[in-house]
Amino acid sequence: MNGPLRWLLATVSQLHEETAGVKTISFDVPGWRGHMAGQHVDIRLTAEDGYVAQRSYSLASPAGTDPRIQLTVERVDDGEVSPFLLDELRVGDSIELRGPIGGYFTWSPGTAGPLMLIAGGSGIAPLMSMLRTRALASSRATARLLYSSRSERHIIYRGELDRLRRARDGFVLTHTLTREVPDGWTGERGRIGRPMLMQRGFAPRERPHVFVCGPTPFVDAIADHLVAIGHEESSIRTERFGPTGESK
Amino acid sequence: MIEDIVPLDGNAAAGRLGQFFTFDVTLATITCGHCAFEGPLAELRLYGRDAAIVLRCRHCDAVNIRMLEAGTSVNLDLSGTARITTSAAS
Repeated sequence: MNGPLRWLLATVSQLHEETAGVKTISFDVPGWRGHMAGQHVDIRLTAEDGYVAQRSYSLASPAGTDPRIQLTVERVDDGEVSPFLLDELRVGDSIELRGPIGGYFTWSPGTAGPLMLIAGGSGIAPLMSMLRTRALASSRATARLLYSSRSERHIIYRGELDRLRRARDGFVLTHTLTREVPDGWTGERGRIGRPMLMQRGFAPRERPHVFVCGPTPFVDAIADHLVAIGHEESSIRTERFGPTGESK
Repeated sequence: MIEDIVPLDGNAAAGRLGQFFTFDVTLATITCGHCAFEGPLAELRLYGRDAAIVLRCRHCDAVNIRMLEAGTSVNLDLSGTARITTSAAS
């Protein structure tokens, strides 16, 4: 790290609706020092009366030094920050952010060993950064993503994930739907449990690097399952985000 | 003050704690001052979001770190922490 992080002014360059209640926001950030896949930023909003609200959001864009970064933000209905980011923010607006933050929940293409990613809902964002980074680096590390969504229409980055899967470069994608499963669905159904982790993930003896991101109850449950089926606790990295109002 | 019952983790506190530490706190090891459990600071449980945050041991739930940001002052209370260890590589 090169000295303490400063608050930077980030200007919105693009807004893209991923699913209902989820947007990807692209920012231009002069002074951005570059990031690793899996890192996040803090966003600070200051009201006219001086009240400050601060939240962390994962970087979804691939690792590198590009000062154009992307965050994928899900609405928390009674939240103080996400409704502003999703409903009020327009292209050309500026907000304060600081980052990149956190070297714990990170992956680089040079890392030896398979990459095992487990996402719940918008917890896909930092894992997408890892997959994008992997694709850009033409990494030969095998990778598996197990992605839990409430229904088909809640799947974020669906088209891009399909394209990554079709590249046949060692990436295997498994979707599971927990609420509504359409006719003809060929993916998994229901919550991620031990059988699904054993069938769709890497075995502990393959020594995968495991990254789990999602709402707290989701992450806690998956981490317990992973340890129960024999994964080393030190091989599992977790990141939790705020309440979505319902557990997955 | 602390309205969210569902905790996050130490990752989400790293930006704030970075105001005090020159190393990446998520890569540091913290030893609980109550039960002596040792683990990554990133795995502590984070309660609170805005002016005041509390980080609790994931093993015994005791408060390890308190942080209060008021105006231009930032207050860090480490009385619940036995030890923080970082390696030069991080």
